[in-house]
Amino acid sequence: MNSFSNLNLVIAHKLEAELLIKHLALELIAEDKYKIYRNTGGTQLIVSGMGYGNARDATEYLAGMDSESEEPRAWLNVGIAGHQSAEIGSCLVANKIIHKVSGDCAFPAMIFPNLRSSEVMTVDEPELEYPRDIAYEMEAAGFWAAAVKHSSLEFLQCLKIISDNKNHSTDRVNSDLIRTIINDNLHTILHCCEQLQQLCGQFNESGRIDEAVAALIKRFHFTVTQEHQLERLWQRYSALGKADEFLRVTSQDHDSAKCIINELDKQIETE
Amino acid sequence: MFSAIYIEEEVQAQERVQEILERFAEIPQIQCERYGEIFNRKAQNFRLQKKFPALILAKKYGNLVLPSPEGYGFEKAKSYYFSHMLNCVYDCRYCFLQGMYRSANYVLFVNYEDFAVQIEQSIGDTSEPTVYYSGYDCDSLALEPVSKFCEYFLPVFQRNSDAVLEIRTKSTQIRNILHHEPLTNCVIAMSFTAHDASNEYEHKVPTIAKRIEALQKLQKAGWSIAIRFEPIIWEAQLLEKYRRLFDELFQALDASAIHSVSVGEFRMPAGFYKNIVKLYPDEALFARATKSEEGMVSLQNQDQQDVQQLEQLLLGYVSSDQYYRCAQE
Repeated sequence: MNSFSNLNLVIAHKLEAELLIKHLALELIAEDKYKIYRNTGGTQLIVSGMGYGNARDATEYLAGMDSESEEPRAWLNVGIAGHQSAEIGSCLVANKIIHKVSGDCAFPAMIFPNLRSSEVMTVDEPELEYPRDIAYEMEAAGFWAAAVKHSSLEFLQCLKIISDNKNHSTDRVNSDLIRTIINDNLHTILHCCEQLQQLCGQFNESGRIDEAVAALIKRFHFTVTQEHQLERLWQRYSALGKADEFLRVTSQDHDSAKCIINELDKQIETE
Repeated sequence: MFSAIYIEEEVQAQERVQEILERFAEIPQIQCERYGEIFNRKAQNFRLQKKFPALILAKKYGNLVLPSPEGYGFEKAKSYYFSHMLNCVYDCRYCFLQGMYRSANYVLFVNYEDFAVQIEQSIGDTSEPTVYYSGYDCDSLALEPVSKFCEYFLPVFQRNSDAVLEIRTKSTQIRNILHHEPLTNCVIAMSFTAHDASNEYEHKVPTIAKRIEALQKLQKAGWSIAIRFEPIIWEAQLLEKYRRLFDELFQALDASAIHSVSVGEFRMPAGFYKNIVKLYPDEALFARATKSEEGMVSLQNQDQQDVQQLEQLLLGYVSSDQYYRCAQE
């Protein structure tokens, strides 16, 4: 089982999601407002429903569930799309997302160098004419509008799998086709999940606070400012290869949080 | 080289832009209205973007030529700087650009003709000699094969011989300069730190040996060269480390013919420093003790005596006429 501890997946329809749910061993954890799935490793998936508003609201809802955590998560929107010329079953990453109604544009960072990219236009009704040589779908802009409020944009991506084009109309899109094209691209989707996880995981690692700091915060009364000071002191001691020194100083007898900070500060400033 | 190329609609048809797009036809090319849509967004991370930087081709409006920050240059004369590019292809950990911009993408302003007009206007506005610095917001030469900066701007200064151009760089992309006849009013200023600091902080930068080789070629071809020892980052045995660098440099070059040599400490505006610490909480350089004076942050152990000793050492290789201390980073 793959496990992406920092990844949230937003998918419009259960049909598009079912293979990923199975492959990632995701279990249903809520279904009152949205169907939300999670595996033991921390990967989460929400079935948003179709359309801009649903994608935006579901993304916001899932972000709300993570609001306790200070570490950002990566977000991936996966879904089917139409395209003027791209082959059925081809997988494209969005390089520009245009919300047709508002004209708003978003520009995801290009972090998947081996994947073909395309402009993606989010429309309110299925696009049957494909006027431009780009992808047309109904969720990406809504997903982006919400996700960008909760994470750095390098962690947000949209993958679109082409289900219809000028030679293969939406009438011919059925559940079998959707299952087939998702299955054919499962490896690619998982590879993108892996890359996002790696990027987000490394980022979170660089600022992670040691358990020793958390234990100190529990033991003494630190104000919010003092907590930040302590965390930054830990980072400085660690960066300078003096984590042991930090532990030595903090394990001594101290009367208060202020004393600990003063002592740590004194030691590091006089080095 | 680039993860994508963003193109402002306004410059899409420009010949300079078309040449770049043809050269990088395999890279996603994405239209935007204004470069700020990508470059100035909130919720983006400079450190992450350094892993997959994009190129943005844009037009710069407004004041394209600005007065230099106080203490920036080598002349007491009036001085200006201009930036045909924002950000740098290198990844020097000490660089203030990390704290100045939200994005690590490279912006190339392709309206060189507008820069030339404003440069020539400012030259015409004064009878005093003026100096123009390039390389404040970018490395002037590092993207030369794409930007063709020298190909365009050297002729501008060739026809304005009263004005001096300093091209600040760490790059060895000197082919376009060597193809041009040497200009007496153009100085190629190469920046160096000592070996250890270079290995530790100057990611993707050509080696010291390669940079010295580039300077040798330039000097041999008749170009005026300068050396910038910036930033000086205090460390143990600093003088010994710089002695080694000075020996290598000044033995390889004709020291007496060097236009100027400067020393500048590691310092930057407090706001930039704060931003960089957020980006690199795990970086040893930013974990060191600092001092803050008049809104500028510098390393605490870097006292004046150390800098003076370094200056004395340097003056064993070059004359005092060639030397100045850079006050501004």
